[in-house]
This record gives sequence, C-alpha cells and structure tokens, in this order.
Amino acid sequence: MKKKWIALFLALVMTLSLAACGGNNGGQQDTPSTPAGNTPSTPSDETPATTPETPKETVTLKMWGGVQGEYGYDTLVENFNKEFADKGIQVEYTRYVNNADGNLQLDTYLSAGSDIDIFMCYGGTTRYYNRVDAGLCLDLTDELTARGFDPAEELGATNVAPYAIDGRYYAMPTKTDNKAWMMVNADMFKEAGIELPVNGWTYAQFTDACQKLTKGEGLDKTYAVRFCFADTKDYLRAGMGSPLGINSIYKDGAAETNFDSEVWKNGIQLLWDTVEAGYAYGWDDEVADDVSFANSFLEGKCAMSLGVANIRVARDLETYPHDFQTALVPFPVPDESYMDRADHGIMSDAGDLIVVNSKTQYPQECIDFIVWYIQGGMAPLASGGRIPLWSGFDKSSIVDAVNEGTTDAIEGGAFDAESLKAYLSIGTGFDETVLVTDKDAEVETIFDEELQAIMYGQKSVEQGLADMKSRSDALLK
Amino acid sequence: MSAATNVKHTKDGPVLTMRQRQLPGKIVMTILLIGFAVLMIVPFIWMVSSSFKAERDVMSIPIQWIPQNPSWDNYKVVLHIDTNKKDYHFLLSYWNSIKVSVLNTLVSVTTAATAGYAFAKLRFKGANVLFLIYLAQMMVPSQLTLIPRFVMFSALEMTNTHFSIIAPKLIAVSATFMMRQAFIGVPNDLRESAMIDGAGEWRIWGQIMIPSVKPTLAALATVQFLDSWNSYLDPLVFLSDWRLRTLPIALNQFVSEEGAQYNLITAACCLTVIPVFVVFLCGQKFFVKGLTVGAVKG
Amino acid sequence: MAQEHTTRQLRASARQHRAHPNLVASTFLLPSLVGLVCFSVIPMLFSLFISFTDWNFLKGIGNWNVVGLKNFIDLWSDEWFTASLVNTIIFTVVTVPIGLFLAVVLAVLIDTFCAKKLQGLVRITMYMPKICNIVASSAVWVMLYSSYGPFTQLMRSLGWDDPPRFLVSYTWALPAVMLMCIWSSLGYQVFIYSASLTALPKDLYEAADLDGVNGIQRFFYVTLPQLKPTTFFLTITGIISSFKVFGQINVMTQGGPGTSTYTLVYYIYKQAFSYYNMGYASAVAMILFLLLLCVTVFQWKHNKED
Repeated sequence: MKKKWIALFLALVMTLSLAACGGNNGGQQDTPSTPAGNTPSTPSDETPATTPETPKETVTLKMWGGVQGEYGYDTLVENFNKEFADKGIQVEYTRYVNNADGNLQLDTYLSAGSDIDIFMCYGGTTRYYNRVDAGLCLDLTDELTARGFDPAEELGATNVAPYAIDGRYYAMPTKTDNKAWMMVNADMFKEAGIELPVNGWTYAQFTDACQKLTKGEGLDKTYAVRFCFADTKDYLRAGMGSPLGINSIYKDGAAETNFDSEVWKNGIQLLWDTVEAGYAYGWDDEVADDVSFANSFLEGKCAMSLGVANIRVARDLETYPHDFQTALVPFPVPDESYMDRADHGIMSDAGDLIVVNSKTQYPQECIDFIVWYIQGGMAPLASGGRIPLWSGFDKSSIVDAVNEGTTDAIEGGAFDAESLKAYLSIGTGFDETVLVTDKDAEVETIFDEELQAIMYGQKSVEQGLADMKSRSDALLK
Repeated sequence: MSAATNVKHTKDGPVLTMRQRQLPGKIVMTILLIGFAVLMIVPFIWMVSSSFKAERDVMSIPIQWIPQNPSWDNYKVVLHIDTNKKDYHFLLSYWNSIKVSVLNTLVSVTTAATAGYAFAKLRFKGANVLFLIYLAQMMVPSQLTLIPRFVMFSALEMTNTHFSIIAPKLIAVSATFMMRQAFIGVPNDLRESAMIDGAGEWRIWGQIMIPSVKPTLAALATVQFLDSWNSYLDPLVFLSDWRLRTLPIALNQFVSEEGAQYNLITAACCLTVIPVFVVFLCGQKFFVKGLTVGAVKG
Repeated sequence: MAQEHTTRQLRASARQHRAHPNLVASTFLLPSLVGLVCFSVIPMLFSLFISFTDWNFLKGIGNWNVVGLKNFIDLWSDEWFTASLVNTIIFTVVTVPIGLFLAVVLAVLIDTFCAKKLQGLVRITMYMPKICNIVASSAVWVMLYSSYGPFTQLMRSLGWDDPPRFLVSYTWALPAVMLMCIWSSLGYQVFIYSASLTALPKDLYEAADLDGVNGIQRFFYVTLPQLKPTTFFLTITGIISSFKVFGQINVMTQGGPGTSTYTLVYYIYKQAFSYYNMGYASAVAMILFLLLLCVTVFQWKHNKED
C-alpha cells in the first residue's frame, strides 16, 4: 500500500520536474555536494565521481564540518589531497552551520544515505549519543586497532572514555580545549593597572578588576565582562563548577546532582552581583542587543569574554579589524583556598568529534583519513585555536601560528604570547572517571532555564538552585 | 425622500449646513487619518533611513530621520559589491525567490483554475463527495502537514530541492474555491454554444472560460505570488542549503549572523521589501479585488 | 419545428460530449487531486499515525513504537506545552478583539470623514505592513524595541522613565509581539471592513440621521450590527492566523525569555526540527488541529444559521 503511494508520488515528481523545472537548471541544485558557482573551495573539475573519465581507483570522500573553509579546512584538504593523490583518495569539504537548522540538514542527509562520508559532530556527547543510537555512526574500534591506533594511548584514556559505548568507539575526539578559560583585552588590563591573572585569581580580585574596567554610560559604556548568557552556558558551567572537579554536576556516581553545593551558590551569586553592579551585560542585555564576541569584545566594548572558542575570530584582523592584544586567563575561583587548581586544568576537555557515516561506501578510506587527520593532519586548524588532542602533536608551534600575520597590525601579535603559553601548558588530565548519563542534555537544559530565571530576577539564587536540584534529581531517579 | 427633507427643515433649519458644518471636521479628520497611516509605516521609514546610515548613527538620540551622511555602503556590503567582507549571496536568493514564486503561482493558479472549473461546470460521479473532501481540507493547516511532508521528502532525498516547496502548491484549496465561484459566474450559454460547435471541454476551458475569468485569475495570481514570496516556515524547514535559500530565509540567516549591525540589517530588509512594495503598488487593483472576493461574502 | 430541432441537436451533442464525463472531469481534477492526496490527505493520516508513536526522526522511517495515547497524556504535564497553549490563547483573545475594534473604527472614520480622493491612499498605506515579509518586519521591530530603538525612545519621551527591554522581559515580551502582530494585520482588516462598508445600504443611515442620532450612536447602533457578517469573518480568520503565529516568534524572541512567548506552532517546530521528536510534535500538531477544527465547525454552524 505504502509502496503504491510512493510510486504514484514518484511518477508525479518526475512529470512535474520535467514540466515545471524543465527549462531552467532547477535539478542541478539538488545535490549540495556539487556546489553551483559561487563557492570558492570548489576545484575546477566538476565531473561527478561516477563518470568514466575519472580513474576508478580515485575515491572522493565528502566531509562536512562546522568551520568555514578559510579557517584552516581549505589548507587541510589541500594537504591531504596532495599527500594522498597517488593513493587514490581525495577529500571534499562542505561547511554546515552548527546550529539547529544546520544539524537538521546534516541529519537529513545522513539518514537519507551516503552523500556524506565523514562529518564533525559538536556539542559534547548529546548529539553524538543520539546519532549513535540512530545508527548513523560507523563503529571504528576494529579498524583503528588494525591500523595500530590505540585511542587511549594516542589521545589520552580519560579523553576518549566518554565516547566509548559498551567499549566501542563510534567517534574520535580531535581537539582539546578548556572551557573554564576566557579571553581578555590585554590593553585594557594594562591601562587599568591590572596584572594579567594568567595563573588564576579569586572572585574578590575579579570583582575588583571589573570595577576598574567598567567605564562610561549608555551607548558608549564599556563593560568589564560578557558572560555569554545568550550563547552557550558551557563556559559558565565549566568556570563556576571547576572547584568541584570534573564531575561538577553529578555526585555519588551520578545518582544525584551537585547543585546544593556552596560552589554553585557562590558562582551564581558572583554572576548576579557582577551584573547588578553594572559590570557585566545582563542576560536580557545580551539577548536584546544581540551581544556577540565580534560586536562587543572585538569592538572594544567589553574587557573580558568567556570561552576561548573565538581565537580564530580574534586573529582575523581582516574581517574584524582591531588594534588591541588579546590574552587568555582562567575564570576566577571562589577564594584563596582553591588557588592550587586555579588553572582549571581538570576541566580540559576533548571535543570536535570526527565521525564516519555508517552508510559510507568507503569505510577503509574514511578511516585512513581520520587517522591522518588526528595524527597531525589537522595542524592547519591549530592557528584558529583548535588545538590537536593527539599526544604526538608539538604544541610549541602554536603560539607563532596563532600570531602569524598579525604582528604588523598589533605589536607582539594578536595574542599575548605568555598567556597563550600558559593556556597551552595547563594539565589536561583528571583522575576521576567522568560521569556521563543519558540525561546530560536535559540536566543542562534545566540548568539553563533556572539560571535564566535567577538572572532575570524571577527567582532568588537559593530558590533557583533548589529547583535546579530537585528537577534534575527527579530525572536521574 | 421629500418627507425626510420636510422633517429636517422643521427641526434644524436649512439642510445644507449639515454638510458645511462637517467640512472643517472632515479636514481635521483627513489629516489625522493620514497621520495615522504614516504612523503605521514609520517602521519602514525608519528602516529605509537607517539603511543609509553608518552603524553608530542608527541608534542615535534623538533619532535622525534623515541620515546626515547618506551612503550606499550598507547595500554594497549586503550585496557584496566592492568589498572583501563575507558574501551573503543575496542575489542568488533573489533569483531563488523569483523562481520559486513564479513557479508556485503558475502551479497553484493552473490547478485551481482546472479544478475550480470542474467543480463549477462539469458533472461527474462523486462530485459532491469530492467537493466535501476539498472543503474539509480547508481546515488542515499547512503547519500540520509540515512534519509528514518533511519526512516524505527526506525519504525521497528531496529536501533541499525547490521541488519540495513547489509541489505542495498543487493543492490550493481556497484558490480552487475562488476559481469555482468565478466560473459559476460565467453564463452557461457561452459554454453550450461552444459545445454545439463541437468544442471539447479543454478547448472551452482554454478559449472561453479562462478569458472570461481573467480578472479573478490576475487577482489570484497576485495573492499567490505575494504569499509565496513571503512564505517563511516551509522554506525554513525544507531549504537549509544556502544555495537554495529564498529571500526571507536568507534574510533570517543574515539577521542571526549580523545581530546588532542594524545598519546592515535594515539595508538587507529594504532589499527584500522594496520590490514587493513596488509590485504591490503596481498591481494593487487586482490585489484589492483578490482580497475582497473571498472575504466580503463572509 | 426549427426550435425543436435545435434543442434535440443540442441535447445530442451534449450527450456526445458527455460521453465520458468522468474521464473529462478527471483530467481537469487530476493535478489538484494528486496534490490533495500527496500533500494533504496522506500527510494528515501519517501525522495522525505518528502522533501515537514515540518516533524520533533520526531513527529513520519505520523505527517507531506505537505508544497509544502516551504523547497526548504527557502533553499536559509538559510545562512548555501548557505555556505554549496558554500563550497562544492569550495571544488570540487579546489581538483579535483589539485589532478588529481598531480596524472597524478606522474603516468607518475613513469612510465618513476622509476626503474621497485620499481614501484609497490611506488604506493602501495602512496595508503596507501586511505585504512586508515577516522576517523583515520582525527584524525591524526588534530594532524598534531595542534599548535605544525608536519605540523605546518614544516611550521614554512619553514619560516612561525606565522602559524595560520589551522583547526580553518576562512581562513585556508577549505584549510586544502582540502589538507587532496587530500592527501587521490591521491594514488587511481595515481593507475588508472598508469594502463591506461601501456595500452597505444607505437608507438605514438616512433613517438614523432623521432620528437625530449622533455619530457615536450611529456607529454602535447602525454600522456595527450591519457589519456583523464581516466582523464574524474577520474574527474567524483572525483566530486561525493567531493560532498559527510563528514567524514573529522565531525572529523576535525565539520563545523566550523562559516560556513567555512560546506558541503552539513554534513549539511544534522546536520539537520536530530541533529535537526530532516527530511523534510528540505531531501530537501537539493534532491539538492545534482540534482547536482549529472547533473554530471552523463553529463557523459553519453559524453560517448555516444565517
């Protein structure tokens, strides 16, 4: 019955595409993998892989990622294609926008078939688990072992552990970052006479600095800090939660949440006080005025911005011209007693999962590619702040790579070298097992909702945290 | 009528003063109404004026209604002319929008005209039942069928094709009703005499019926074109590939990427809105008819 | 004799042409029918079916479990859904009457007081917001409402010392969106009212003039009752379109802050296309359908009575 309708539908489809789209090139645009016209990354040869002219051995892998080609992937693809030309493997990169619409597009293609061979998966474990659950991800375990690639050894046991499902790997994390660090305007700090707290600072010192950094009124106001309320709350979670260790959210083997801890209370109180004092954009300010990294921090309208994900943007002086130097510093800790872990090394996280589509026709070639990608192939991305996780990677080259081409415009380069070195040298391990539950996404949503209610003054800090705890604990039972 | 005049005379004195007394009031009221109408389009006036300003002047206090240093720079950035900034592919979206809207209009007007004709003039088995089914479809909002349509097209690997937003226009229930009403209004003699001459239904339809409902067709086409030009939810769901995006979707993307660059956003908005205003003002006669045909009867 | 001949001929030829009336009719109906079946009937049934399943889009077609009424029961303890439902209803109950009242007053004022030559121009100008695409008009309103935007400045100059950030305030976000919606559909309603006004019989007004009623009495006792069918039509279309409000929400507030501007269609969109919960989203869509069904059935009944 269903087949009959589909057949009818198909017949209609064909007649209509002939009748309606006949004259113009409507049909040509159906496949996004052969971009029409304007994409800069398209090689001149546009012959599809199936035409007889192309040698049969050459396989073209289609890779989707969330980063614009010019931030490293163009070079990466070029390098790979040069290196693997004689081995008959080529790669083609397509950028998708890593938001709800972009992921919908990606998932639609993935569940439809084999248009995509390799893709990058963002957003922690949530999307990854869903995709594995839906059977979209190829099991890499055996093939990696066959190539002598031991994930625990090459990438760090604790880093890969969250991505093993029943002992099988369906993805490999590729980069490392620390969400508990933030980007600050080094020139503003210097002007205000504040030393860069590269080795950590306390909430009191932070508040003190905020007071010095806040200037002006109305449209000309310079804020001290942007907490990224309108963006991901990952940075806040990592920064505030870090004193509790890597498992800042759960305790007792993930039987309940930690939201009754003083650490969370102090952290959220700090946010509230900072915003109330006018040092930071409020949640509503950020949403109402579309405050972004580019239009606040890079315009010199705020001195600190949470998260380090924007290194590639801050060094792109062509698109975002600015003349100050940026430095990286850790999020503050509640008081002196936490100074020993003020660099938040335990929060260092692995991310940017590389995944092979389970429906790919070229699993072998795909795995060749990801091994190459992990073992240094992704180096061109490092200058944009995507620091390779691979233990064999030489991080010493990163500082120069990041500042390359920016030294003419800004004395000493776009980034303060000392702070960048400090960031790169923080520990990347943790001795605890990372607790992961299938309710992570829901718990994060609850955190966001209650934090929003608190920051909007709908609930007191205590009330919001109590609700956060009771709602999440109910989920975990 | 004469009785009425008599009464008025006795009550209020001369009749004509009534109108004369209203005159100043009318002038004041006309001015007030024009003022209100202008107030309604103040957002657009502000939009056009901001699109010529530099970023810092957009939110100045007090508001500059006439930009101090008007320039085309914002438009150049949006359209990617003489700039090394990002290309938003607005022209491509223009082309997509034109293509999709024209095809949508053609498809929906054609099917509405044929089906409307069948319901108005042809006798066939099951006509009443079928008509009821059509009536019932009026209640099904496109939002309800959105998910299944998406699932259907993605199963056929046809999301991210313009086809996925054109094909559903085959069924335009209210348009079919409008055409049915129009055809019912065409006298039967014309059709019968053509039949005597041996013309088939399709010839009658094409040569006699269609010409006599031209005004309705034009009205319908205008409404459908604008509908399709402004359509938002369907393209948002079906067309995630930037190469296929229609203007509202491109604008949506632009707004979410450029956030607070109000000067650029207003320029982009102008680019999507001004052509429609022009089309609307040119085709208003048909459009007004199209609006009122279905509505006034209630 | 001659007449009889033609009649017979006519009948004969008519019969000849109606040799296959079903066939002829079906050629006319085919495209529309295909559309009806493929894009309305089948989707409708499919939607009904998956609303009884736990289907997640990622799992692929066919991988669903029928869970009976679970979705429909879960809905009522889902605060996002209940908030969406309540907001949608508030939205409708507020925007429709206010919009219609403004529209009818404006239409009557234009009809009675505005210089004839300018009437068309005034109406067309008021209509502009409606033809502007929803993304552009929403984006413009976002700017009007922003902290230094013209609307906020206007409020300040009207003596509101500390106006909120309208779109990000729990209290003001929904009213702000509603104001924008009234603005955007007002022109259409004025249009329809004006068209009906010109079709009204003039004798009643003359009779009213005789009785010496003033303008306001005339409006309430003569004009409004006469416009009842139009008001009814606009109420129904107004209700239907505010049930379906989506674009403004997606561009202006994305449902926030909190749940304060979530509406049914926006929630369907979120559930279906951000979380892929197609089954659950379809259940919400079914609720929306039921609401619309009630409105439509009410309309039909009403029309029959008239």
